[in-house]
Amino acid sequence: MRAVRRLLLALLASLGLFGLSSCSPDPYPGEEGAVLHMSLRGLAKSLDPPVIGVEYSNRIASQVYEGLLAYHPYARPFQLMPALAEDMPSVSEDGMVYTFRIRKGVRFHDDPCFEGGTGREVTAHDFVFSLKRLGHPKARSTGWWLFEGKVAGFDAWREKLIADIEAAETEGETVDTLWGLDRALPGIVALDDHTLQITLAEPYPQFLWTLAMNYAVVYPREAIEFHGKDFRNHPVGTGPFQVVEYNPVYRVLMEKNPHYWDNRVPDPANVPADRLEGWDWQADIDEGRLTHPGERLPLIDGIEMRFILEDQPRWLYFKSGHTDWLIPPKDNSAEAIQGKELTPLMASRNVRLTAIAEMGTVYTALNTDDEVMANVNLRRALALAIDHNWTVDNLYSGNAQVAESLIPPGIAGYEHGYHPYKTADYSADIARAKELMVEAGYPEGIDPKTGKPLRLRFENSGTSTTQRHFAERVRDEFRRIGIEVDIIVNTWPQMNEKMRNRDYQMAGLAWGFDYPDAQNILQLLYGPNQAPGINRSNYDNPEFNALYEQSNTMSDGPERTAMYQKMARMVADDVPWIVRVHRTRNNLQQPWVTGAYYSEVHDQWVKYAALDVEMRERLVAEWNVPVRWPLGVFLLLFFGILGGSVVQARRTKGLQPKVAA
Amino acid sequence: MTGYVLKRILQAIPVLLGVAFITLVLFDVAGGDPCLIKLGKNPSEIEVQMCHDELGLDLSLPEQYVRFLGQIVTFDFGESWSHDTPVREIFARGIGPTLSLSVPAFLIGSFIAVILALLVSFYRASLLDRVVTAGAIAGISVSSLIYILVGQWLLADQWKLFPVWGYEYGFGAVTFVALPILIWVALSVGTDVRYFRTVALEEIGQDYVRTARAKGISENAVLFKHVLKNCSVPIITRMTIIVPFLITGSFLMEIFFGIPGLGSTLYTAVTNSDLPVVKALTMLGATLYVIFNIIADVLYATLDPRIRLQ
Repeated sequence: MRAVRRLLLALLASLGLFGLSSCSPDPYPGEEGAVLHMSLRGLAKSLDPPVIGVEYSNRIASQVYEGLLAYHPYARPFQLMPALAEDMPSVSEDGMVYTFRIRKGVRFHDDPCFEGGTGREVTAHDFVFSLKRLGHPKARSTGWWLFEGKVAGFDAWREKLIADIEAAETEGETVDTLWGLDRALPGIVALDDHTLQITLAEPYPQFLWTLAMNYAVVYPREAIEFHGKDFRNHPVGTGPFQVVEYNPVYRVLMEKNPHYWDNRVPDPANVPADRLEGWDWQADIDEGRLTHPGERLPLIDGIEMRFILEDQPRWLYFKSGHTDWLIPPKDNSAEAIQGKELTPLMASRNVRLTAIAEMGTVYTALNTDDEVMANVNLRRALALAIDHNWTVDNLYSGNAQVAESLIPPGIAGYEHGYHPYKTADYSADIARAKELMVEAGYPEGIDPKTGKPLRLRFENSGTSTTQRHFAERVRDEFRRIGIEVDIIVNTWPQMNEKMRNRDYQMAGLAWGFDYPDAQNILQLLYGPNQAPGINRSNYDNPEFNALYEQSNTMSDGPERTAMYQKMARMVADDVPWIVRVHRTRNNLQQPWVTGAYYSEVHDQWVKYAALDVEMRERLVAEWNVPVRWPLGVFLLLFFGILGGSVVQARRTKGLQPKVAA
Repeated sequence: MTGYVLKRILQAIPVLLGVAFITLVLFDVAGGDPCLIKLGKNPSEIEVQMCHDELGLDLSLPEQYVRFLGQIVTFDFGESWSHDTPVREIFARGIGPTLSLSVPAFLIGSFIAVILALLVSFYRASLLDRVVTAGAIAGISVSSLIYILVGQWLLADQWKLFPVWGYEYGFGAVTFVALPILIWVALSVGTDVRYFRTVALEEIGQDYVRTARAKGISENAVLFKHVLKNCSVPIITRMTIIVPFLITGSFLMEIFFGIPGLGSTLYTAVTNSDLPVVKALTMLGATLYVIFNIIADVLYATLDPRIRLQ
C-alpha cells in the first residue's frame, strides 16, 4: 500500500498548490498613489498622432498629447476652449486666416530624446512640424482627409512630396516621415516662437473642431529622430500624463507629468474667464460632476488602462472594483441596470450611472448603385418592414433610441417628426411595405425574372452575438414582405473591400461623429464621395450635392441648419440608408471617482478625474472577501471518495490489481 | 536512427511548403484588404495604393509566396500590420506569458492524470474508479468555453479565490495563472485519465505483472518499476505531440484571463487581418508540430527497444 500512499500524497500536494495560489486577489500588486483603473474593450494601435484614429488609441493619446484647443470638460452642447493656445484664435474678416498665440512655458515630457533628458519648451515651430507631418505621405495619416483641400497649399505640398519621394526611392534612398518635412508650407507658418498662423484654402467651419482632435496635437521632432518608428509605442507630448509602459496586447501605464503646465479645473467662480456662455455649471456641481473647481491638474498620480477584450471579465473586473469606469457589456447589462435604474447591488454600492446618448447613428446602408437596390420603392419598402421598437428593446436591451433622422438629437440639423418611411410609433407597416413592393415590381416579394422570392444579400462584419442577431432580425423582417435574405459574414476588411468595390447590396454600419457638426455624417452621402470613397451607398442626388457644397463653407447658423435639415429629409425620402438607432451609453462610475464628466465624443475628460484611494481600498477589500469553504468541501469530498475506495478495496477480496476483464 | 531522422526532416519540407502556401492563399482569398484597417475610415485611392506597395500586396501570388518563403528561412516576418511592431518583438513578448500558463498546466494536468489513472486502475471497479470515469466522461462532454465562463464566474467572481483577469511578469504571474491553469487541468484531465487508464489496465493485465507478483515483489515495485515504466511509452508519445500547442498557446484562455501571450496575439491578428503575425505563428505551429512528431517517434524507439525506426 505504500505505492498508493505515495500517489495520494502526490495528488494532495498538487491540489494543495492550487489551494495556496488561491489567495485574496490583488490585480495591481505594488501600485502606489492614486492611479485610475480603466478597461478598454479593444486594442490600441499606434500612438503616433497622424495615425491615431482608433477609439482606444485616442483614449490613451488624449492623456499624453495636447493641441491648440480642447473640449470644455463640462459644457453641453460641446464647446471648445484654449489648451496650448493662450486664448481662442483671432480670425481674419474673411474667415480664412487663423492666428494662435501659443502658451508660454509649456514643456514636453522629460524623455531621453532631449539633451539631458529634460523636456524643452513648446514653440509655434513644433506645431508647424506636427501639422505638416500629418500630411507627410510616409506618415500614412488616417486623418489627412480632415485637412485635405482645406489648408492653403497643403495639398500641393503633399503631392510634390509624394512625387519626390517616389523619385528618391527609385534611386534607392531611404525615406522616413521626416524626409522633406522642412519644405516651406505657406498655409502653416510660425510668425515667431509663440505665434502660429494657419491660412485656409476655403472657408472651413469645422476647422476649429479638427484642431481639438488627436491628429492635431503637438510633439517634438527630437522624439521622432531619437525613437524612430518606436515613437508609436513611446509617445512624447505635453499632456498631464506620460506613458511609462505600453504593452499593446495587455496594458498601458501612465504616470503624472511632474512638469505639467498650470492647467486647472474650470472654476465657475472665475468670472468671466472660466464661465463659458451656456455652461450650466450649477447642474454639474449638483450632479457631483464638478468637484474640484480651480484645482490644478492632474488630480491623480497615474492611469492604468487594461485591454480586456472579452465581455465577461471586463464586467467582473468592474464588479469587483478593479476598474473605475465601465460601459457594461450587453450580455451583462441586466446585472447593472434594470430599465433606466441601477440594480439593487449597484445602487447599494453607490455606483453612479450616467446615460449618454451616443453622437452617432446606426444604419443599414443600401447600395443604390446595385441593379436591384437602385429601385427606390424597394428601398422604401425595406425601411417600412422594420419594427424599430423591437430593435431597441431586444437588440439593444433598451439602450438606444429610434433614429428619426440620420442627424442625432443635440446636433444642429436634427429634426423631430420627419420620417416618411417609418411609422409614427416606429412599428413596421407591412401593408404599406407590400404596396411599395408592388410599385417596385416585386408583388408579394416575387422576383418576376425568376418567379421566386427576391433574394438580397446582407453583409455583416464580425461574428459577435449582437451582430449575428441584428442580421438574423433583418432576415426575419424582410421575409414578412416576401424577401429572402442571405446573410454574409465578413471580417471588417472583407466587408470594407466589398463596399469599396460596390460589390454589395445591404450592409450593417454605424458612424460615430468626429466633431459635433452634421457635416461629418452628411459627407457620407455626398455624390463625389462615392465608392471607393466614404459614400458607401453611392447615393448621388444633385440637389443634395449642391446643398452640401453650399453648406460646407458656411458658418454655424439658422441658414446652415435649415440646409442640413433639407439634406436629412432627402435622405429620409430616398432611403439610401435605413436609419436605425442612436445608441445610449450607460456609463458606470465607481463611488470613489469624482470630477470627470464622461463623454463619447472625446477622451479629454479623463484628466479631470479625482480618486478617493482610501475609499477604494476599503470597498474593494470589502467586496472581495474570499470564500474558502467550497475548496474544503471539494477536498473533503474527493478524499472521502478516495478513502472509501481504499477501505472498500481492503475489505473486498479480489480488488487487488488483476487482469483486465 | 540518424538516417530515419534525416529522412523525416526531408519529408517535412514539402509539408511545411504546403502549409505556407495554404496560409497565404487562404489569407489572400479570404482575408480582405488590411490597408483598409490600417488607413482608417476615409483613405484616398493614392493612400491605399501606397500602402499596397509598402506591404507588397500588389505582388502576384507566386511572388508573395517566394517572399514568404524567404521570411520563413530568416524568421523575419516584418512588422505587425496592426501594431506596427516587429513580429519578432511580439513573439518575444508573448512567449513568456504563454509558457507560464501552458507549461505548468500541462505538467500538473499530466501528473494528476497519470496518478489518477494508476489509482483507478489499481482500484478498478471501485467507487473511485466509477466516480473518476464518470467525471472524465462528463468533463470531456462540456465545451471548453463553458469551463472558462463558469470557472471565472464561480471561482473568481463568486468565491473570490483568484483574480478575474490580469498578469504580472516574473513570479507574480503565479497568482494570475493559477485559475486558468486549474481550468486547463480540468479540461485536459478527463481525456488524459481515460487514455492513461486504458493503457495502465492493459499493462496490469500482462503476464509479467502476474509473474512479478508470484515472485513476491511488492505492489509498490510492481506499480512503479514495471507497470508505470511500460505505460510510459504511449504516455510520453502523447505528451510530446501536445508540446507544440503549449508554445502557440490557448487563445481562449489567454483572452479571457488577460494573459498577454501568443494565443491572444494570434486571435487579435486573425480578427484584424494582421497577415505577418498570422503567417509567423502558423508557420511556427506547423514547424513545431513536425519537429515534435519526429521527437515522439525517436522517443518511442528509445523507450521501447522492440521498435525499430526505418
